[in-house]
Amino acid sequence: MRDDEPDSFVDELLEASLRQYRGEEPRSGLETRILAGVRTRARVARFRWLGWAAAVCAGILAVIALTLHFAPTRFRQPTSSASLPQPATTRPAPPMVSRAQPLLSPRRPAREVRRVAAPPSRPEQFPTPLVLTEQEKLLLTYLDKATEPDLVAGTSQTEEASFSDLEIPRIKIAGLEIKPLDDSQSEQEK
Amino acid sequence: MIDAGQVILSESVSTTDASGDELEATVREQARLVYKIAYSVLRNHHDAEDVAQETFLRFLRHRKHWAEIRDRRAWLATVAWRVALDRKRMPAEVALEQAVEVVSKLRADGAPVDEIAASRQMMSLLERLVSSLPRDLGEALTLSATEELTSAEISQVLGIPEGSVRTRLLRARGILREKLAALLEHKHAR
Repeated sequence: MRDDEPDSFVDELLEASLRQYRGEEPRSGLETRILAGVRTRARVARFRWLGWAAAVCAGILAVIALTLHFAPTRFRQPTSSASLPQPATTRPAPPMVSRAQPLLSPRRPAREVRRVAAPPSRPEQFPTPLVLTEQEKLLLTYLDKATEPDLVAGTSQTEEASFSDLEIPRIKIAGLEIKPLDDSQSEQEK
Repeated sequence: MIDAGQVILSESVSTTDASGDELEATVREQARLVYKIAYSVLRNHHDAEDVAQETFLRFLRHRKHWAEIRDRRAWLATVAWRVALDRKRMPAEVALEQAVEVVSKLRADGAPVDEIAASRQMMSLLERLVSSLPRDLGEALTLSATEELTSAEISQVLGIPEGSVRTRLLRARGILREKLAALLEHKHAR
């Protein structure tokens, strides 16, 4: 009787239950499903990596774009002031590449030094003025010295002289002569 | 003779590199072991296959170090064991009284031990008893229940000496037997 042998029943039940406990056999095609799943996951992981790489590249490009966007605004101010009309005799200042550096404190980062040194290399006036010719220099000297009435008088004298120097040949107009029509010719035409 | 599963595997792997071939061979050899270990922890087919895929995916990611793995079977068993433990959820609360009542009734009706052991209530009861074991004992018993690993391999997975594995198994079985006997005798005495 099982009631008389409870220990053996419990032992048998435990052993049988532990055999059942190990679980059922895997369903057929386990290897195929595992391989397919592994490949799919590996592909997804690769695309995820590409996505991260693309995001990092986009971030770097954004930083570069922002840097380029804000960098010219610092240099535009000297350029715009130089675009105002300047005396023709002024020449563009020489570039301060090597001279500007000692003026800066040594604690400043190198990037700042480069930014300060770069703008003076640009011409202050665009287009760069050419060297004046002798005649232009003489004209400027005359304009500096001459007063306004002199300039007006000089202009009127020049105009009068130019008119007096002109030689205009006389126009000869021949007299009009109207001949009467010939009757014989008119008859032939008829 | 090549079965359908092998043909499908060969076709799916032919486009991959050498690591793909080695992965396929490893999956064929060790898929069952990995699945059984995962199932012993999770008690669910779907979750066990998911863990198996995750295990072989980690194996594929580790391909640069394949040559350094001395015992590939133990390595896979360890990874599967850890992944399964990470995913293990708390077992559903079993109505202990109800399970014991059903088992006692089957016993009183003279049902064979194997039939009682295969019943859903007995499985639930055993799962509850195993989960109530001390952690070290429960882990050794769970790995042993798969009947896929030797004591030496279980010792590698758990990182303990082989003798400790045997000791833990004996203690775990003893505790299970005592608890089961107490439950059934208590019910039978009523």
